[in-house]
Amino acid sequence: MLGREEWLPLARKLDWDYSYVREDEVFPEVISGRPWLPHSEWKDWEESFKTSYREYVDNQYEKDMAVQAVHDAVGRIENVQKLALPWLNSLKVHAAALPLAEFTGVIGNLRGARFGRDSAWRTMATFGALDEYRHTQIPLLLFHPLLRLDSQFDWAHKFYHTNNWFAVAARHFFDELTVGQNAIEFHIATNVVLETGFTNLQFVGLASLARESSDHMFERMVTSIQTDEARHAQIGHPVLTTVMKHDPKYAQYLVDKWFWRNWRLFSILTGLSIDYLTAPDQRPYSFKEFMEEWIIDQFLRTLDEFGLEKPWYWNLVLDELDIYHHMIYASAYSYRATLWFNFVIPGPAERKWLREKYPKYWDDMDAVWEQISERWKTVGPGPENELAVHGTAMPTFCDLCQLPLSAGTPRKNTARVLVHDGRKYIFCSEPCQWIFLHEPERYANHKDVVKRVLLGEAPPQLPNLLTEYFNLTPDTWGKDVHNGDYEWLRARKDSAA
Amino acid sequence: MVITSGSELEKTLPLSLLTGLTFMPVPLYGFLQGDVVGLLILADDGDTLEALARKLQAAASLRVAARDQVRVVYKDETVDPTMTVAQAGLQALDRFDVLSG
Repeated sequence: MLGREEWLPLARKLDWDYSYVREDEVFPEVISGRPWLPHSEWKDWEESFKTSYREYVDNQYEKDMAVQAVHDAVGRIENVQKLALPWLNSLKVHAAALPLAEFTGVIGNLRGARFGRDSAWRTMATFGALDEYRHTQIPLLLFHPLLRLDSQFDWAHKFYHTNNWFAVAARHFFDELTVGQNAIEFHIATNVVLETGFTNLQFVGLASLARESSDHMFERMVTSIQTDEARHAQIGHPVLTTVMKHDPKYAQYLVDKWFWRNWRLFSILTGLSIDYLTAPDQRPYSFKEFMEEWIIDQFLRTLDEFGLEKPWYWNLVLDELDIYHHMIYASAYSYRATLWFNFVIPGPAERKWLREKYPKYWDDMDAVWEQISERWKTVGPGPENELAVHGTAMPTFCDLCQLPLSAGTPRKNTARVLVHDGRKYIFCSEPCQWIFLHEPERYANHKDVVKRVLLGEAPPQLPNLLTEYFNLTPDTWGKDVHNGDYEWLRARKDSAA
Repeated sequence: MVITSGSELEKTLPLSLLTGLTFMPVPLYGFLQGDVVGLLILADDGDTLEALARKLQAAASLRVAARDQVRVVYKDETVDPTMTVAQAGLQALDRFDVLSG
C-alpha cells in the first residue's frame, strides 16, 4: 500500500492527452477563461497546502463539532437576546448577505472543478465548493432559527430572492463574481482579490468585534469559516501567476476591477458594522484603522508579490476610507424602511469619537446628523413618528455597482452621467464608469431600481415599492432601534424648554 | 415591535413618482450640496430652475437645512435661475447640482 506522500501526488496530478476531442473543446475559452493556453503551460500548477479528501473530511468534521458545541453553549435565543441592539442589527445584515452569497461560491468553485486547467486546480476547487456549502449551511443554521426572536432574521433565507435595492446590488456583484464567471476570472477575483484581499482578514476583524460584543457564536462562526478561506484562497495564486506570465495587462485589469467592486460592497458591510452597529465602548478600532492595518498594507504586499501595480484609483480608495461608508450609512438611515434591519443615530459621544477618527470630512457629516436629530426633536420620539423622519424622494443608484449615489463628499458628489450607444447611464464614481466602459456588453442592459420604476417595472409609490417589490412588511422594514427616543435628545429638548 | 400600516405610510410619505401628475415629468438626478445621496427629482419642462432648486431642497430637508441663497449648476455652469428646465436644456436623466451662494 502506498503511503500518503506517494499516492497524493498521483491523485492530485491526473491529467492526460485527449485523442478524440481537442483540448480547446474540453476547456473552451468562454468558460475556462483567458488567456487560453495549452495544458503544458498549466502543468506546474501547484497549491501550497495539500490535502486529501479523507484529511479534508476529518478536519471539517472537527471544525463543525466545535461550532456546534459553541452553538449549544452560547448560541441559544436567550443568549442572542442579551446582545446590544445595534450589534443584533449587524448580525441581521450578515445573516442576509452571507449565506446565499457563499452558495454562489459553490457554483464558481464547481466551474473551477470542471473547467480549471490542471487536475490539481480542479481537485482544490472541489474542496473549495465543499467549503462554500459549509459556509452557506452554518449561517443558515445559526441565523434562521432567530426568526423566532425577530422576524427580520427571515432575510437570512429570502434576501437574495427579493428585488430589494441592496439585494439587487449584491446579486449584481455575486452573479458576475461567481455564478456567471469563467474559471480563470472567478479564481483570481474570488481567491486573490476577495478572499486574500478582503474576507480572510475581514473575518479576523469581525471575530474580534464579535468578541468585544460578547457574541461568541458569531465569533466562532467567522473564525471557523476563515480557516477554510485561508486554505482555498490559495487556488487563485498559481492561476494569477500564469496569467501574469502570459498577459500581465489583463491580470492587472482583473485585479483593478475586482478590488474596486469588492471595496464598494465590503466598505458597506464592514464599515457600517464597525463604526455604527457596534456599541462605542466595544469598538476595538475604527473601520479606517481596521482597513489600514488589515487590508490595505496586506493587499499592497500581495500586489508586490505578483509584480502588479497598485490600482490606478488607489488614492481615491484611501480618500474614501474617510467618508464613503459614512455617506452610505446616513443615506441608509434616512431610507431605513427600504431595508430589513434597524439603525441607530450616532449620539454626541459617538459623534465625538467619529470626529476624532475621521477628522477630514466629519464636519460635513456632523451637519447631516444634526439635521436628522433636529427632525426627531421636532416630531418627538415614538414608532408612530418613524416615517416623519424618513426620506420622501426616490434615492438614486449607480449603473455599475447598483449602490446609492453616495460617493465623493457632501460638498461634491462624484456621480457622473455617461451617454453610451444612445442610452444615458449614471455612475457613482470614475472607477465604476471605467469598469463599465471596459465591458459594456456585460453591464449595459442591467437596470437599476430607478430605471425599473421609471419604466413601470417597479411601483412608483413608496409603500408599494417597499411591500410589493422590496418584499418588506411593516414588521420587517427598518426602523430606528430606539424610535428616536435617545436620552441625549431628550436632554436637549428639556434644556430648550 | 409596533406595526405601521402601509396606508399610514402612504399618508406620511406623499411619494408618488409617476401617477397623478398633470404634466410630462422630466426625471433628473439632483445633488444638493451638503447631502449624502443624489435624489430623483421629477421636474416639469416649465419649472424655473429656482423652483427646481426648491424641489430638491424640500426633498433633502431631512438631512440638509434649506438655504435662501443657492444656485443651480448644470454641466459645470451656473444657470440663470429664471430660465425654465426646457430653456436650460435639461433632459431626462441629466444631473444638476444645487450649491450654496
